[in-house]
Amino acid sequence: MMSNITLGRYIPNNTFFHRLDPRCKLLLLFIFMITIFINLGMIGYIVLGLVVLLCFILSKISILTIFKSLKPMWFMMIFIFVINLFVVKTGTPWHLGKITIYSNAIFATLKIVYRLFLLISTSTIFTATTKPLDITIAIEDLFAFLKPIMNVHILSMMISIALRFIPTILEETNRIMKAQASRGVDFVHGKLKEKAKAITSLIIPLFVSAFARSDELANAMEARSYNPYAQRTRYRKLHWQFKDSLILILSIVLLAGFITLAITGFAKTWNTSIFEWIKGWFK
Amino acid sequence: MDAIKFENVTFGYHNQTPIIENLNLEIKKGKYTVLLGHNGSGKSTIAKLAIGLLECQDGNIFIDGIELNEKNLNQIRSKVAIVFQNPDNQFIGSTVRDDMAFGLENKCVDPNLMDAMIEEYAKKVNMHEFLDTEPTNLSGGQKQRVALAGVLAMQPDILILDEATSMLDPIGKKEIFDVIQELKVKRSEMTILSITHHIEEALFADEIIILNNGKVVKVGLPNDLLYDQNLLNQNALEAPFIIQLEEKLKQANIPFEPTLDVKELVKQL
Ligand SMILES: Nc1ncnc2c1ncn2[C@@H]1O[C@H](COP(=O)(O)OP(=O)(O)O)[C@@H](O)[C@H]1O
Ligand SMILES: [Mg+2]
Repeated sequence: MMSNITLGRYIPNNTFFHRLDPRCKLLLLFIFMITIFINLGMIGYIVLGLVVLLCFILSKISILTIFKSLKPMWFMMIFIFVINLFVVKTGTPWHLGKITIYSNAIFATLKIVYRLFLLISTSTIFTATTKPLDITIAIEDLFAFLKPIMNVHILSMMISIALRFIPTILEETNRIMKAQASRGVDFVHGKLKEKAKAITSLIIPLFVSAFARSDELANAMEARSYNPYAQRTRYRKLHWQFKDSLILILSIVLLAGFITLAITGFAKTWNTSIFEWIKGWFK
Repeated sequence: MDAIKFENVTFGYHNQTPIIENLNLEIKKGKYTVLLGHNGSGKSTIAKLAIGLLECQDGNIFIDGIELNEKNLNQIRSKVAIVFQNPDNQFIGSTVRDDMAFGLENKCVDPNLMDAMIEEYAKKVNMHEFLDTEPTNLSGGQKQRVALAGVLAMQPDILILDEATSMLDPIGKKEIFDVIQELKVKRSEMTILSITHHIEEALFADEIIILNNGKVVKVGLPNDLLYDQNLLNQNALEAPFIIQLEEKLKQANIPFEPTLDVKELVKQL
């Protein structure tokens, strides 16, 4: 149950993407997210999809991983579709018995799902090719400009410790579940109320142990002379290379191109804008 | 001069009834001292006081002759290192390498020198083949050895082990114990204070301190204390296996020369 979490898991390899500077990858992810939320129109989306496909091929992630990480999306897809069925009343009406479905409901759903798909895929590529530790270092470096107003190091330390303890706490969860199950607690069957009770018997010991853990961890860190406000050196160094600059400039150019297209209205000729769709909703 | 000295130290959690009252304690420099006491006798509290994680309400604590206070906490912590009980809750880095670097980073060691230091100390605990391994893929004993290497890399004068082996299986216990034995031989200038309720660790101590209810009951040599059945019983401790065995031999009227070395005893028999 716990072992098949694929979203956000690092997959060791040595591909082009693995070797890119994590700061570059983090910036790429930002740029990509912005791009996804611009209304691109059909051609734009196809181009973007091809870019993502290329990234997948370059990062050598198996198709299976992608589909696994998309698992939580099926529910969302159906949810969005059902809502759209009631909300969107434009386009060609199709009659299925008593129900009437409008073509634009399907298009709007597909559009949102496609965007989500791109978003999850790119995030998966990012986390699968970047070590958690490197992500935290990249965050620390990229947000260094915030240093005068906040301690960025603390933020990155918190993230890296959280990441470090996820497997430990999952292991513990498993152990407590087994222990409680052996005492007759049933996590699977029963009414909602009984299930809630069973979950409580898991959550409470888990919290107690997590607090004890954090206390001991804080002691261990302090005993090793850790002081987040004091000066300290850093073992891990990132190396920005020429290819990082190249890729970054390329994707900025791509983003600029998309933005120009969206502003000039070129995109609208291909599909109704999502903004118009929202406007129509409020009318 | 003592490595660690407690002078009339009183301490209670949250200012409640003191767990330790007027405690006087001396840990000799360069020696391997074992602090013995059953669970809840205040051993961990003493360790945390010594490294400044807890602040005593009354009395003074001296490390290498320097009085511990808020101002020289950093100086004290560069002298004293500690390995705690739970292998998981002191593993900070995401790999062995990063965990060992953590203490060095805090000491502002030049990052270019770190790799060599990490290699060197990982070798000492036989973990140099696991430098890029994540903690989930290590056994408890391996994690404790990393913790040990991590603090040794900081080159402390005093090493405190607070039940460092109590959560480990027999093999893990032995691995840690072997490393400590080796340290004892090779780095004789380092003071080692091993805190434990596991009496076998006391067999090779230079000095044993028996603690009960926050009070020092007895200080002495293994040869003197460990054969004293009454003393051990009163402090809820059990004699080491070899001494129990010797008792039985005596009862069976088998002649032998008392020793704390198992090999020696086997040879005699
Ligand atoms: N954080 C704490 N808050 C309150 N009481 C504590 C705390 N830690 C330990 N104690 C109490 O202090 C006593 C001594 O504990 P400790 O020093 O951990 O003993 P030992 O390490 O010898 O097992 C115990 O009775 C324990 O319940
Ligand atoms: Mg203890």
